[in-house]
Amino acid sequence: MKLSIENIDVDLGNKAIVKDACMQVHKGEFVGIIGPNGSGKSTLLKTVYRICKPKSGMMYLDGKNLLTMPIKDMARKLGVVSQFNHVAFDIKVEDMVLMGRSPHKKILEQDNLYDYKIAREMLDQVDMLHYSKRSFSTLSGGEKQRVLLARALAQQVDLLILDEPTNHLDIKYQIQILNLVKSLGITVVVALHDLNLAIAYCDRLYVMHNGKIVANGKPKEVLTPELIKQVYEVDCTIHTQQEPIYITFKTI
Amino acid sequence: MKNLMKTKIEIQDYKNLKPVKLSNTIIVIGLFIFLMISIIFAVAIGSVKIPAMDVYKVIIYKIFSPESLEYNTQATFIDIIWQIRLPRVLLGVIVGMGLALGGVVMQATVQNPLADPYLLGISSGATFGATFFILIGSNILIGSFQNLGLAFCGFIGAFMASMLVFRLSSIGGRITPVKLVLSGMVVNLICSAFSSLMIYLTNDNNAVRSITEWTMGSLTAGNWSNLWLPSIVVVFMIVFFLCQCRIMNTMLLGDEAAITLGIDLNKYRKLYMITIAVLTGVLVANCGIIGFIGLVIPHITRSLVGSNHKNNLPVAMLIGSSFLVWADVVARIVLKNMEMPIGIITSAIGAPFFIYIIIKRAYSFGER
Repeated sequence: MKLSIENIDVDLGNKAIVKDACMQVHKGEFVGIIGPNGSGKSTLLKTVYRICKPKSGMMYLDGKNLLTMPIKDMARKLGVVSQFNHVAFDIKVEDMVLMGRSPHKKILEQDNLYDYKIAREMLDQVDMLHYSKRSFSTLSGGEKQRVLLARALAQQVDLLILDEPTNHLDIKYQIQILNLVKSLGITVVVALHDLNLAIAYCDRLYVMHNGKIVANGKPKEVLTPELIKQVYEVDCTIHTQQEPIYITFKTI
Repeated sequence: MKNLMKTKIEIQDYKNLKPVKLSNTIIVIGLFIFLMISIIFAVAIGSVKIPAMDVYKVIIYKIFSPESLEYNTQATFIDIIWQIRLPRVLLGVIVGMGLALGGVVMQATVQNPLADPYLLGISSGATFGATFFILIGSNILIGSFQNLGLAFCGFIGAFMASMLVFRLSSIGGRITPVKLVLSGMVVNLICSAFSSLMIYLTNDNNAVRSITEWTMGSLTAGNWSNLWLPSIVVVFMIVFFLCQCRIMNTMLLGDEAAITLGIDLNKYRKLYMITIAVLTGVLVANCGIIGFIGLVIPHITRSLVGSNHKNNLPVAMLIGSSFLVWADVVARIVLKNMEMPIGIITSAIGAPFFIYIIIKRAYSFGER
């Protein structure tokens, strides 16, 4: 068991955002979390990477208590690419990726050639090496997201948490990022909006609605017109004759 | 094919790494040499003109062999150089370094490129303390205790104000940059109001004038005995913050990103605020409020060497100190037989320079 979330409740300002969430992620799995806006996907993920504190419940990472783990230890095991990141300063792309090496460094330790090598390899993997001297703030949304992915990869983690990583990206980069993450062969937990992408990439899906996990399992088994109607309040047709299956929505 | 690419990258590695590191080292060395030359010229220039060569000689002999000072240098020159001008210039160096350092750290701490070391209510807190002393406390203390009392009250005012900001911004949990800036504004307003009230109620015109002069800043306090406290504090802070570069870099990304990189900023933000409060408090107590250095110098350095604090911090401190040394030279010579408050000079030079950077370098607070 890679990541295990047990009966997590999260309140934000007296409002229950996540209610009694349980989730099991096995090593090497690609797990998706879907659900409408405000269903608690992001909050649940933020609780996992320690931005939000749960009111009750337990979380384990590789069998260790994630809630009491020093965050530096956490950052060596778990990397995060979240939604759009605003940075008010000029930071070089290369320096940005090098920051991913921080969890492996002692306070006074300098970046050595090995760190530079990792940073460059990761930039190469996301196809951004030619931009390494550019300023991060001059990049487009898709390029920024790829750099942040490279930073998370430079942390050399075996669990990646992606919180709607493909927001603001056009379809080409959505597919590129997900392909890339999938090809790494590491454990991935990803919150996604696009159900068809979720079906195409995820081994298992968790469906959230009003802070509760209402369904989980293989995409084919979980996604039914009834569930989608209940959770998203839209009508749809699911085309099961093709692989992967895909969903069309009734728009008007 | 993939292998080939990898080796190419590794070759690039060395190619790309070396020049960057080298050019930054050259900038630091160049600025250091410039600072040394600036010190010598700043000592030479003044109402009594002294040849720069004499300044150099006197300083070298005083440091390395005080006994064998050459006789061809006039004794009055030696006194002017060693007793009057050099400590003052050195105070400028120390204060300039400290303010630039404070500016860089403060901008990282509140994640806002428009922050300066006085943001924590320090300037108005210090003014409040100084006003209080000049109007009320100076009647009690006499003689040489006057200056000491003024510095002490300034420091206490600055420190109390920043602690108040600290308390206010930690109401309701984490200290966030927005809460910090807003609390700083509130405390600034409160302290200014009380200072204004005291000034309004007094009949002592001389006192009002000395308060005004104090708020405009000056390096006149520079003598050997006043130098050691700010020097120790600034050197300590330099060493401390040079060790914090990695954390300050992460600070620029914000709280959430920092946590995912294994660093809890909240802890460091508190630590930095207290250290900056002490640093700025000591500087303000010694030479009043010298504006603009803490705000502008970090911008100049960022446009020169980027945001990475490993390069930014040393360069900012060297530029800050050189800038203040020359500003003090201008303050001493621009008016005949009179000295201009240095705060006026730094603002008058700093503001247009700031505009120049924004226009010329297409530099827009990091958001190009």
